[in-house]
Amino acid sequence: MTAPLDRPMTQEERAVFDRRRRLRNWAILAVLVGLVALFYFISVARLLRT
Amino acid sequence: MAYAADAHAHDDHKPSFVKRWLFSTNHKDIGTLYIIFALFAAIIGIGISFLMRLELQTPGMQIFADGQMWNAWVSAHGLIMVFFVIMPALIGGFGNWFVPIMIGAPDMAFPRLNNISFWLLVPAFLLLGGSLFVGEGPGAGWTIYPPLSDNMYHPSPAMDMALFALHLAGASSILGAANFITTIFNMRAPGMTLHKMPLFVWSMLVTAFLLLLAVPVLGGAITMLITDRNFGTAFFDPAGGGDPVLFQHLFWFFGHPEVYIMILPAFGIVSHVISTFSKKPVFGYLGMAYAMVAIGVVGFVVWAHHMYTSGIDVDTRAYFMAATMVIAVPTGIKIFSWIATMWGGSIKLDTPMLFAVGFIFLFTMGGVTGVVLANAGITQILHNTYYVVAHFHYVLSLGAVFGIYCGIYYWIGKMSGRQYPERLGKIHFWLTFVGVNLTFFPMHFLGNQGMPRRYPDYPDAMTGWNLIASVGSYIAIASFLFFFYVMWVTLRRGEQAAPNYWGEGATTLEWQVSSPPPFHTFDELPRIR
Repeated sequence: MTAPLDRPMTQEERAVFDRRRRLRNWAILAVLVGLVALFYFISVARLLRT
Repeated sequence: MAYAADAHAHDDHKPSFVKRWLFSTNHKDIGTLYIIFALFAAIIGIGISFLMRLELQTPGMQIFADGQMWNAWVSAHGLIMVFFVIMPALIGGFGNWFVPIMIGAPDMAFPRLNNISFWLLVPAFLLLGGSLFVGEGPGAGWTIYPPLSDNMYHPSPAMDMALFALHLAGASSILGAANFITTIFNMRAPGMTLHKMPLFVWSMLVTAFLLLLAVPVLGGAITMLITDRNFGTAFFDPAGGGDPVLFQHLFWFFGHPEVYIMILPAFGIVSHVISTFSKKPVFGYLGMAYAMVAIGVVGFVVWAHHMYTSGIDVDTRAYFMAATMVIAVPTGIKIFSWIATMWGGSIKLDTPMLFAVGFIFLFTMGGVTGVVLANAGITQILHNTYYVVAHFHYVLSLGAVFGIYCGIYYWIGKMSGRQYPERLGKIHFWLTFVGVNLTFFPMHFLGNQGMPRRYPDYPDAMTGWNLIASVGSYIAIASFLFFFYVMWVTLRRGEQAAPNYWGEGATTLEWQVSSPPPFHTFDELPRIR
């Protein structure tokens, strides 16, 4: 696997690319934090029954 | 490559010392911090194991005042090695260093979160270390089962300190895992599809998912334990309607995936090393990647094989026995593929390759005894004996630690810009290999003789194997000290490393950049064909 560089992105392309990537990063993080909270609360669900 | 030639240009401007190392947001610097932290914690963790083997060298009490003190220090050894040595080195250290580079990303997805993940470990380690010197110490084993860990048997704040240490270390792991998953899913360079990702990145992706789903369960369990100890609840106290076996279920729902969390990154490293030093692509790349996914998935449904003697019914034991044996299939695929990669290859037995081959041997040994212990009937006899201690040390102490050494020798030239002396590396390997086998192989015999875990004394009849194990541990500890000497020589006098010092067998992206890589690795995104 190599990393050839045929054409670097223009500044405008790079700015759009970075912005979209940042937004997707936050969306994925939100889903993952939700999963963590879900698993944590399932584990302590017994708290509610005692 | 454009990157290799331009190591000290505008992309290599570094911040001041304090900003760089205390407030670091650079994945390579944070990786370096993790590795330094893990080595420091290893000095403490391995130091404690030295005291343990001194105590067990002969029957009677030598070093430790009583059984409680013994249990506290043994617990600290286990917790330190798991949470503060193996995980920080393999996941935080190598993961941070190489995942972004291997996928062509400029850094991790959340650099500040990365910094927090690291710095949470420091107070966690101080809390755990401090707990040893408070009251009776946290002497409930790394499994912290109640009722032993509740406030009737551990009334001092030592156990609370250890539990808070686990909470902090767990938070660090969860934040790190979320960061890795986001980075791997969303920060890959154009053209780097999932099926082109290096196997180390695959291993980190599976590991991060295991962390993300398993650690919150440990968090839930120890939250309930803390409220039982401090706020009068009775989740695990039968006198109040609670159930101590519930804790065991919750703990092992975390604890068994934790075993794979520790070993999967080592799988990834070993795959790279074997491919590089056989000068062949990995045999069955997709099979290797999905075997790790399978190990991760099945690893979540086998937890009660740690609880065969807790009173669970026979049908449940039958299920967990069968499910546990199923894990041998994807594991077997990996071992077969590593051997098939070497088969017909142009093999060079440099130090990283020696550690990789040593890893396969030791991990297979531990795997075979794992299949033995998967049998509920046999475990009725072997549970909590030294056979179990031998088994998990072959898998973890030897497997994961060999993975760490393998990674350090493979990548030290890339990380530091200086290459280790080959002769010293090979001496280090053989000292370690002989030492650890001499330490842990006799423990199988001790377990078969019925020697139980977590006791500082034993009958005179078991002196022979214990003496051999202790001598082996002194050799292993000497090899650990020798490793620091090798690193000192490397960093002081090591030869300047070329961008791809392993040659044609090394094909992943880290070998396209200079050694060490510039401070900002990919200012311009690479494109993968």
